[in-house]
Amino acid sequence: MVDPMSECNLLDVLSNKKVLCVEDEACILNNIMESLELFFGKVVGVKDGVEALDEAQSNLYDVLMLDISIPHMDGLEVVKKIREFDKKIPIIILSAHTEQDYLWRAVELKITRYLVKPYDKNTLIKALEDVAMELIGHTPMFQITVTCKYDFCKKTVFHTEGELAHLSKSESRLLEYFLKRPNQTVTYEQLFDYMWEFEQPSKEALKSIVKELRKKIDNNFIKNLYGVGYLCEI
Amino acid sequence: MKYSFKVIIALFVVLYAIITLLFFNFYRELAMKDARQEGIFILDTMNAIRDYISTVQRPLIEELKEKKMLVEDFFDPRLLSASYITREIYNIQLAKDTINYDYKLVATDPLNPEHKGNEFENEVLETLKEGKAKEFSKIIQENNKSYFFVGLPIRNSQESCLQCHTTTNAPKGMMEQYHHIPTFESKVGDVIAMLSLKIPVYSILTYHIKEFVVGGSVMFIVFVIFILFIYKIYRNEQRLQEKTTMLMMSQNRLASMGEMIGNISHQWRQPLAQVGSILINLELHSDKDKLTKEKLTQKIKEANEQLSFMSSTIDDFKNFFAPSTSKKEFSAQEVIYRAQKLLSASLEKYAIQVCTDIQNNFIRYGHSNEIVQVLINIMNNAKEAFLTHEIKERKIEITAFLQNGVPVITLQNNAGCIDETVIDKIFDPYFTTKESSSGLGLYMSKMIIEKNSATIRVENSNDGVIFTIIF
Repeated sequence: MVDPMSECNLLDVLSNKKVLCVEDEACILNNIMESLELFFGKVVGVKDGVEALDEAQSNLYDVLMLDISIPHMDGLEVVKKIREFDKKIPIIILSAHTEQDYLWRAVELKITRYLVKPYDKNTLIKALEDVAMELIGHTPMFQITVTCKYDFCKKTVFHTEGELAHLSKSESRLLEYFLKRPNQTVTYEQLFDYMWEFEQPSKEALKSIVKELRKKIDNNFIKNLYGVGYLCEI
Repeated sequence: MKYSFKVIIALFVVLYAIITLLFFNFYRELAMKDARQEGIFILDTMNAIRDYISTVQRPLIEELKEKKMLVEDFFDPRLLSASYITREIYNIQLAKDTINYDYKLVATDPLNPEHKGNEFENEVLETLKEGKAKEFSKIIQENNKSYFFVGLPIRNSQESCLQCHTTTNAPKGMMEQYHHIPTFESKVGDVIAMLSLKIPVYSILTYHIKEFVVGGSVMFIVFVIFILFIYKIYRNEQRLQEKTTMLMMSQNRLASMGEMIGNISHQWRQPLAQVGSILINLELHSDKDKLTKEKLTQKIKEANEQLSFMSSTIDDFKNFFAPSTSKKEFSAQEVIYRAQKLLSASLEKYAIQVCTDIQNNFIRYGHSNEIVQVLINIMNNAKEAFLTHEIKERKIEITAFLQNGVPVITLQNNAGCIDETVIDKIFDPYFTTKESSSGLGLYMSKMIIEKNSATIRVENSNDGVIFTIIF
């Protein structure tokens, strides 16, 4: 496979992403979180099923990683509930169980990977790469306009004239959010939640990021919907 | 075998005794019938001789007298008296040892005083005279000996008899011999006397002794063969039972081994996963050149903690499996704690809360591992009941206390009651309500408890089951 992927590290796609990690054993959770922090922009860990579902419903996460044996609600049950409102979010299941019963249930939930504990580094890396591929819709270079391409790995924008623009972390995060929802209305609230979580969001800050994106890519691809939000036309 | 071998043997002996008794009785009856037949035959012959004398011999003597070839008042009982002649024939037979019975002619008011009957004989004679019976036979006792008595009537069948048996007609010689001639005062055809035989029962039986012995021996042999046959079946059954017990023991041992290995794997899964996650973490940090010395030291420490936990776990199991050859003192707390520790992973996994209450930490002497095995077994059963009954609040209470000075451990759970119809059977071998169970767990538990000179019983509580082990 000789394509742009070889030039860049696919895992860099994750660097501006947020992951939720669910594992009941403190020590394991701690180690997984430490490992994931090497790849992800932000890692949040919770210990039980109910908490996990609560977190996932907040709609802020790009990736989920769950153990099956967790208190209150088992991991697969949590995933089933999540799939009711989010069909797309990439999910990795971690489990010591290899019983057919679990595997059948997992298959139906359209998860990205089922990692059997104990797993090794390469399996984890491979799983994270899969997640990254899924997040970018299997196209590392995204054609935004006729003359402009976006590189998910490097977070850069190419213009056919040879111009190259680097995007900041928040810029790329916002852009990728738009690219995932082409020709859909994206409200300010959605963006506030996704970009700032519980910090005080400001419309001005958002506007300035959008402005910067328009400047670096194309003036027209993000449309203002007055009083509502934005629409990304591709 | 449901019935004890001894009971069967006793039954057989009784049966044999009854059959033998019936057999001998049957043979005796046959022998008596034979003897009667023979006696009557002999007496018939005697009667025939009498008839010959009165119909042939006496008329011939009369004829000779008429022809004057004999003197008119010739009288000799050897030629004329039927009774005399028949007695003599009997005497000859007796002398030759061909017979062993007493012959006697009985008459009322006889010519010959020897022919006077005793009370019994007269009675028989009366019966025959009345014509109630044509013959008579009975076993009688005389001088403490059993005799078979046969009587046959003599009929006053001929005119010639009356000649002598009338005072007016009797020959002179006869008158001289007997002095007194009683009158028959009877008609031709009347019963005037009786011939009788007394055969010793003993001799009848000794005559048939061979048949008795042969029959008895055959029956005895058959009986002995039967007993041997039953004994053989009994032995086979016993051996089979021994084998079954052995098989059950090893089956149960395998099953509990399997369970224990399951527990070990439960116990180890977590630390293994932890060490795994630590190693991946280290490797990833190292790959990214972000591994600091502090981090490495901290992670190694974390991993070592897990390894020592795994090591102590495997030691616990090793101690549990180690065959304890000698009995030792152990405390209630010790066995309860050990059982709980060995099961800790699965108890935790299925969120089962175990409350122990050591009211009296009594000391017992025996194989502590075996008691631990029983406790584990009961807790495992509770765990399965929790899962099948889908109980949310899972609780097992273990209490050790003295009940009127007797050490007791109770295990109470809230995993639902046992069906009252089967609660009596749960300690039976191969009894199970679960699909994948050998049905030996509780049976072996009971065996083990009884081997350690204790008892175990079970009863339902409100929402679960209480097992009570009484030491």
